[in-house]
Amino acid sequence: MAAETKGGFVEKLQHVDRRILYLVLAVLVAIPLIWPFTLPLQVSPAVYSLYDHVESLKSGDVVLMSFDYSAGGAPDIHPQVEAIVRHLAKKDGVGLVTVGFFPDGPMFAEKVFWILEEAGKTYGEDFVNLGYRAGGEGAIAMLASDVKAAFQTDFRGNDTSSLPLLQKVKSARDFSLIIEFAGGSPGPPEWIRQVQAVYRVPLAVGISTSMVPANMPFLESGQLISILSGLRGAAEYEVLLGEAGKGSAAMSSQTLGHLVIMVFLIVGNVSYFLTRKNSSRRIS
Amino acid sequence: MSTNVGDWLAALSILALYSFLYKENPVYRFAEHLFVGISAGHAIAMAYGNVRDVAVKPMLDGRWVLAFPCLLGILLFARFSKKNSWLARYPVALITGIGTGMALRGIPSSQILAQLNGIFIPLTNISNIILFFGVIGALVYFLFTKEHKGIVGGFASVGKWIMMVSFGATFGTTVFERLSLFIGTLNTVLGDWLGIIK
Repeated sequence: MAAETKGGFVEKLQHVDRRILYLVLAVLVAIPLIWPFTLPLQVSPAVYSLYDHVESLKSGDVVLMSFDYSAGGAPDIHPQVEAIVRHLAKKDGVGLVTVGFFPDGPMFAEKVFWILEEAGKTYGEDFVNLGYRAGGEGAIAMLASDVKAAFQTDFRGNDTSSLPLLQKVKSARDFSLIIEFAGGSPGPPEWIRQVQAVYRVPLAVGISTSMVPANMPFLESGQLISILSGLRGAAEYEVLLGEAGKGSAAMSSQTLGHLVIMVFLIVGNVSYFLTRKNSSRRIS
Repeated sequence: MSTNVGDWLAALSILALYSFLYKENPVYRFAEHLFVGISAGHAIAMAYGNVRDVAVKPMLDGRWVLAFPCLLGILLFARFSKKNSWLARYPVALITGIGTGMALRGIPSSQILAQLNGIFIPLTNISNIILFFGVIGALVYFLFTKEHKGIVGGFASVGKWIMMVSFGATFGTTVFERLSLFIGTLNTVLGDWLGIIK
C-alpha cells in the first residue's frame, strides 16, 4: 500500500503542470528584486583585467565601444555597458567613441550618455556616437581602416570631420582600448579577425552568457584581454567599481532561479528513474 | 505606478507575450504580430537611413563613383522577376567573394595559428593538462581515417567527454541568459511600470 502511494507520488512528479513550474520560478526570481538581499560574489580574473585596463587609461586616450546587440539581448548585456561607462565617466580626458553594427546598437549607446553628461562631459569633445552601419564584418573592417571615411556623419547628423574628439583618431590603431558588446553576429570572431589581428589593439568583449563557452579560446590564447559574461559580468564589474547597479541587484534573483532549476532537474530525473525502476519490476 | 506611455506599452506587451505560458490566446497573437510589424518597420527605416547616408547624400555631393555599387544593389531586386532573376547573380557573387576574402584575411592568423599557439602551454597545472589533452582528444575524435581503437580510441573518448562537458556548459549558460532576460522584463514590469522595485 505504502509502495503504491510512493509510486503514485513519484509518477505524479513526472506530470506536474508546467505552468506551476513557471509560477514557482517567477515568484522566486521576483522576491529578491522586491526585497533585495546580497549574496557573496567572486570577481573573475578576466573582469579584473578589463577593470585594470580602464583604470590605467590616461588623459588623451580614446576608447571605442561597439554596440552589437538588439533589444532581445539588452537585459543581459546593457548593465555591463552602464558599469563600464560609469567607470569611464570618472576618467578625466578619456574620450569615448561608440558605434553599432546592429541596427538597435546606437540607440543603446544614447541611453548611457546621461552618465557622461552628469560627469560634466560634452558631446563631440568627450564622446561621440557614430551610429549604425550595415555590412557586418566588411563594415567593421572599413571602420578600422578609416573611421571618418566609414562614418561621414554621426548618429546625430553632425559632420564627423567637424567633431573635436574624432580629430584624435584616424584608424583602429589610434584607440587605446576597444570593447565590443555582442549578442550575436558580428561578434568577437569578426572583431578579432578584422581589428585585433590586424591592428593589435587591446580588445575586450562583453557578451551574452550563452556566447561565453564558444569565445573562451580567444581569451585563453590572449587575443582578448577580457570577456564579461552577461549580467554576472556586469555585477562583477560593479563590485570592483564599488557601486551597486542593475547587475548586482539581479544576482540574488539569478542564484535563486538557478537553485530552483537545479531542484527541478534533480527531482525530474530521480522521479524518472524511480518510475522506470518500478515499471521494470512490474514487467519482471 | 508609471505615468509614462512607453512604460505602459512595454509592460503590457510583456504581459501579453508571457500570457502564452498559460495557453495560446488572441492577446498573445496580437502582441506577436505587433512585434513582427514594428521590427520590420524599424529594419526598413534603418535600411533607408543607410542608403540615404552612405549612398545618396555622398552622390549628391559629387561622389558619382558610388553609382556603381548602387546599381549592383538595385540588381539584387531582379530576383523578384522570373525573366531577369539571373541579373541578381552578379551582386550576390560579388558579395560572396568579398565576404569570403574578408574572412580569409583574418582566419589563418586569428582562428588557426593563434589558437594553436594557445595550446603550447606548460603542463604544470591541472587546468593546462585538461586544456592540452582536451584539444588533442577533440581533434582525434574527428579523425575518420583511423579506426577509434587503442590509443586513438582512448584520445577520441577523451575528446567526446570534453565536448559533452562543453555542450553542458553551453546549455547552462543559455539557462543563465534566459533568466537574465526574464529578470530584465521583471524590472520593466515591477520596476518601471508598477514602481514596486526601487
